[in-house]
Formats: sequence, structure tokens, C-alpha cells
Amino acid sequence: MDLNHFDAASAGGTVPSTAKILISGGFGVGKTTLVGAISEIRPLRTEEPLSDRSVGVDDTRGVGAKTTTTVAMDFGRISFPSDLVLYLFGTPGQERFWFMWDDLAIGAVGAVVLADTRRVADCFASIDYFERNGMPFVIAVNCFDSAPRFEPDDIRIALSLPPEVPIVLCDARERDSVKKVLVSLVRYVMNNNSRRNQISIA
Amino acid sequence: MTTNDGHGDRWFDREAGPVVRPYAVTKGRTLPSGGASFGLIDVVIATNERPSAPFRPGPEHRQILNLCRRPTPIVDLTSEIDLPLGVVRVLLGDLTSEGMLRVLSTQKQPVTDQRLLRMVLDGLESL
Amino acid sequence: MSYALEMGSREAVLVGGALIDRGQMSAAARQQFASSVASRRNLMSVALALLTPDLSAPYASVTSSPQYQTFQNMEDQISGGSGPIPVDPAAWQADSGAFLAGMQKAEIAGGVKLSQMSASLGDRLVLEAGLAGGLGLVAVIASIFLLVWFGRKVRRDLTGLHDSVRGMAEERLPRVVERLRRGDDVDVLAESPPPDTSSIQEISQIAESFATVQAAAVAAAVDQAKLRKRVNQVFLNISMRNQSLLHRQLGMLDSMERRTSEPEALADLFRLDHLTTRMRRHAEGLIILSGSVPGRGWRDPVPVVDVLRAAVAEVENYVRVDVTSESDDLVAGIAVSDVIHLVAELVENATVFSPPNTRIEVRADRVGTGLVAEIEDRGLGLSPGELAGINRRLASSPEFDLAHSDQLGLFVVGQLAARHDIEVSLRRSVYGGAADHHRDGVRLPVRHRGRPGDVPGGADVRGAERGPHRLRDGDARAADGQVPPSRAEIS
Repeated sequence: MDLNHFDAASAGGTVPSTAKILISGGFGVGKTTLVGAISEIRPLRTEEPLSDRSVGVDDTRGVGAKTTTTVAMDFGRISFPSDLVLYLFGTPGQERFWFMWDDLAIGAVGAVVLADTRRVADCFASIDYFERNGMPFVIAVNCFDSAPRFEPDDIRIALSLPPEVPIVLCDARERDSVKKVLVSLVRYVMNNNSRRNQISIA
Repeated sequence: MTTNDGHGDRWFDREAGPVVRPYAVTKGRTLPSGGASFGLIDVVIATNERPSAPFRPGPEHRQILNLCRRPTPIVDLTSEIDLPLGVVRVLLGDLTSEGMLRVLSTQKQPVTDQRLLRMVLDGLESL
Repeated sequence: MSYALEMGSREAVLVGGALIDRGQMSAAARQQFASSVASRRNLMSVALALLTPDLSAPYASVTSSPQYQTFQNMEDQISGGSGPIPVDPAAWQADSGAFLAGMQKAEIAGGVKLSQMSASLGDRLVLEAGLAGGLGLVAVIASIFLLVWFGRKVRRDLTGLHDSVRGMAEERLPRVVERLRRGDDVDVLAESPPPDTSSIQEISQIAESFATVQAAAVAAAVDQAKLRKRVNQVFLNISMRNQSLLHRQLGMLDSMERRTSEPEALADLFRLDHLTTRMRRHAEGLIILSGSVPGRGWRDPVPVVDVLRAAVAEVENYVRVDVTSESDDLVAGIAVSDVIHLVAELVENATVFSPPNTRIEVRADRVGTGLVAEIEDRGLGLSPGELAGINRRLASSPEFDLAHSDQLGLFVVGQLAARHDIEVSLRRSVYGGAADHHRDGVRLPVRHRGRPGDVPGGADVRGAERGPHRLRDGDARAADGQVPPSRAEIS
């Protein structure tokens, strides 16, 4: 197994462990909000279609040269005291940018598919992708005031998901809520792994 | 933002776009040498090796080396350098080929390292 | 009348001869005598008719004398008779003698009178001739004088006209054209003052027509300049629109390059980017040629290494070019755009005129207080004459002559260099080395005063350099001598 930690001795200093989680979902569903709610750095880019420079994309957030434009998507970061750095990458909403997802997906812990109850169908593409690639994911249903409320089971049916996939209600603006989503993902992955291990042992 | 001073459009400093076009930074190369994949969360560190002639580090090479004197995830590098990821990867390839940079960790396969997952979980829960 | 006299003499001779011969006259002699008489009388009557009264008077006195009558009678007797002469020899002698003498006297008198007359006639003729001649002479002198005076006036007026014309052709019209070229407005009337008038009407007329031509020439030049300006403006507008579109296209490419993590896709985008960049260079070039400035500008100084790489990026064969400078110097913002264009032009030249398998090196070093950029290729080399020719053209910043459109690049370089006091020249540099054949390179020092700024780390190099960016003559000379660049100590 390739490990994501290092030979601290050879690195002259504290060597961080890194991990990444993908945040995906349809366009405008609140991915940036979610990432921003928990990230220590501001995600600097809203999701938008390919636009030319005249629309003045880059400088509006005012953080100058620091930019996620390099990777053309939002990303957030959480640094933990244990020298672990967790990155959250918001995937580009439009399907035509999915060729980038492979790059992002490699080595990711898993993904959060953020769903908007008004546009549940926007999730389909993401779900298909993760299922195809065998990446564990959870559904986070973004509940904000005006959104219609559904039972998680309704959504499960709507998205034709197997029962083991966690469906979590959340408020993308709330840090705690987002934390819960991420926690549920990690637990899910861990459980999956242990189950697989058990199966292989058995 | 475009200003127009009556003599046509004018774009100043940042608006004028990068002085050096990205392809000129790598001389048109897009494939990093050495074959490393340089994933976004891979961690690199500058060694203190000197380049061997005929390799001449350019300003961007030197900037990367400056930024990763300590172990640095590649994605953090890229926030500081206003260059496409593909270009950064080529530059990283140059530096690793010359031994001036080392990749400390690289993620190639889905995470199955329970220990790491445990770290993540613990970290998240303690937020 | 003299003939008459001679006839008379002949008669006398004939009669005398006969008298000597006992008065016998032959028939032949008698005949001769008779014809002489007839002739004499004829001649005398004719002459008398012809002579003027005062001339015929002496003869008339002879013919009207009684002796003459007697003489004539005797003549008749002699001629009409036969046998011995019937006249008295003494009477004949006396009368004929008297006749002859009288005739001679008359002749002499006539001659005197004639000579008198002719003398007076001659005098009169001389006088008339003299008068005529004298008057004529006066007239000639007067004409000569008039001619000379008039000639001088014509000369003066014509000279004045000629000066006007020459002034127009050699001074005023070229000045007008020059001003029009620079874009100044020209007042047609002010620039075509009419030449001085002359009192000579023909010259005046010439002067008037000339004034008309002059005004027409100036007006034509003004019209031409206006037309050129309009055409220029059209090209400029098109180029500026191109420039805007290309700017936006490059912005989109920037975004796309950042969204691509797949090397092959990125390579495609790079090719597109390169192509677009070259298109932008040509749009900017056209804008520069039209006398305007490109859209991209910098207020802050830009590292010279970036400026050089930017220039190289605009060249088709940029892969063959290495920018080897590690200088930390900066170029003043206002010069960046033009320097990029200028260096790009020179680098393009270097790539075109050197073998495709050779590399081109671009360096920038500090020399004195200025910067020298060098572009070195391993081309075939130019002859010293060609080298000198190119250098001349670069230095003199001439008017762009469409006939030499193949030298467009050089012209642009010259213009840009002049605008920023940059000196550009071509030199031959020699490569020695292991190769046994001699390779020439061409080195162009480009000098301009950048503003050396902060090195990374914030140390300020020298405060003195914040002047306007002008080249000092001393620096120029230092570069032309082969002074090796001295490294300034940066602390």
C-alpha cells in the first residue's frame, strides 16, 4: 500500500500528512459555500462557466495573487494539529470539465455529493462517476430555508441509491453541519475498508 | 478590466495578462520529465543540490524552490505561483530530474490506510 | 552732246580733207559727211530736249546764233552737192570753227555747271545720308539702350520669379510635406505666398500662373496627407479591434490552460496560445506602424528576464531560443511594451537568418549604468557592407518607404529604438572553439536605461537610477568599444 505519510527523519522538519476529499454536485448547489464554511483559507473562485477575461473573474475576491485559478476550482484546506492537512476540492460543475476529475480523484478519501432538493437530478452525473470509479461517497442534502424538505429515504429512492450509502441532511453554511458531513464520509470509508478487509480475511 | 482612453483599449499591469506566456515558461513542454505524477496533495521539498550544467533554473524554478524549503503539498505551491498546474508539474519534473527537489509522498491509489483515515476522523471530530 | 561735238569734228575733218584735195570730195566721203550731219543734228536736238534749261542754255546760244545758221546751210550745201564743195573754205573754216568752239565752250560751261550741280547734289546726298545716318545712329543707340535697360528689368523680374519658384520647390514645399508627415495642420494660403509682381505683363502672367500652381501643389500635398491619415486610421481601427479580440482570446486560453491537467490537451492549448500570441504581436506591430501605442502597458517595472522571455514567446521558432540571463534588473514600465516588440523583431530575424539546427541565445547584462541585451545567433553572417547598411538604417530612423516593405521589421526596430533612446546595432562576433570551421554570430547590443529595482529580498540597488530613461552618450560609447561588462555590486 502506498502510504500518505513519510520518513520524517529524511525530511528535516515536520512533514505533513495530506488527504483530500472531493465536494461535488450540480452547478450552483452550494459547494463553494460548503467548502468555505470549514476551510481555513477562502475558496477563491465561484463556479462559473468558461468566461473571458473581460468579465473580470479573478480579482473580485480581493485576495490578490493567491489563487485557485491554477486548479480552476475551489479548494479549501484544514490544517490539523497532528500535522495532517485535509484538502477539500470542489469539482467543476459542468460536465465538460470532468476530464479533470480523474486527476482530482486519485488518492482521495472519498467524495461528498451535495444535493439541492429543488434539483435533485443534478446529482446523477456525479453519482455515476463515483460509482464507476469505485469511489466512496455520501449524499449531503443541502437544506436552506426555502428548500422543500424531504425525507432521506425519498431522496434515496429518487437517486436509486443502495441502502448503505449515507444520506445526510446539512446546511452548507454551517461549519458544524459540514463537519458532520465530512465525518460521516470518513466513517463510511473506514467501515467499508474494514468490511472489505474482513471479507478478504474470511 | 478594460479602460479606453479614446485611443483604443488599454490594459495595465495585471490586466495586460502575464508578461511571459505559460508555454514560454516550459518551452512548450507539457509532460513532466521523470514520469512522476505530481498529484495535488503530494508533498515536495527542495534539496539543496546545485544544478548541473547545462540546466539553468529559470525564475519560476527558483520560486518553487523558495516556496518548498519545508515540505509542501503541491497544491499549496500552486496557489502561490500564478501558473497552470500543468506548467507547475513540468517545472517540478525539471527540478526532480536535477535532484534539486524531492517528492516526499505521493498518492497513487485510493486511500485504504486506516491509520490516516483515523487521523482525519479524529481531526474532524475535534474541530 | 559730246557726240554731237564729235560729229561736228568729223565733218570738219572730212571737209578739211576735201579742201586739201582741191575741194573734191568722194561720194563715200560725202555720204559720211551727210550722215555725220544728220547724226549731229539729231544728237543735238535730243540732247537739247533732255537738258535742263540752265544746262542747255550755252548750247542754245550756239544754235541760235546766225553763224550756226550759216554753218547749217553750208552743211546742207556740202552734203547735197556733188563735185567740188561749193562752199568757201574760209567761210567754212570760220563757221565750223566757230561752231566747234562754241560747242566746246558750251560743253565746258555745261561741265562746270554739271559739276557744280553734282557737287551740290552730292552735298545734298551726303547731308541727307548724314542726317539719315545720324538719326539712324541715334535710333540704334536708343534701341540698344532701351534693350539693355529693358533686358535688365526682365532679368531682374525673372530672377525674382526664379527665386520664388526655387524657394517653393526646394524649401517651402518640402517643409510643408515634412510637417504634414508629422501630422501638423498646414494652412494652404500661408504656405503659398504669391511671388512678387512685375510691371512686365508677361512676367506678371507667368508669376500668376505660378502662384496658382504653387497653391495647387500645397493643396494636393495637404489632401494627400489627409488621405493617408484616413487610411492610416482605418488600419489602426482594424488593428485595435483585432488586438481586443486577441486579448480576450488569450484570457480565455489562460483559463482553459488552468482547467486542463491532461498533458496532451495542454499541449494543444499551448499551440493555440502561441499562435494567438503571434497574431497579437502582428496586431500590435501594425498599431505601432500607424503611430499609436499597443494596448498592453505597464506602470510597474518588469524584470528584464521576463521582458526577454516575453519577446521570445512571440517568435515562431521560440523553442530554438534560450534566454540565459540571470539578471535581477528591471525595465521601466513605460518601455516594456516597446522593448518586447523590438527584441521580438530582432530575435525573429536571428531565427530566420540562421540554420534551423542552431540555437539563439539572448542575454541581458548591465554595462555601466545601462542594460545591454544581446541576441546572438550562429548565422551565415553578413558582409561588412550589409552590416554597415543595416546599422545605418537602424540608427537613422527614416521615413517608412513602402518600396522597402521587406525591411518593415528593421524600420519598426528603428522607430522603437528612437522612441526610447535605445541604441541597436549589429555586430559580428566570432566563435572559436573546437570546431575547425569558423562560425560567425551576430550580436546586437540593445541599450536602454532600465530602472534597476529591488532584488528579491528587498535590498535597494541604487537610488540614483530613478531618472527618466535616457541614454547618456558616455554609455553609448562604452558599449561600442569592446569593454567587457562590469558587474555592479549589489548590496
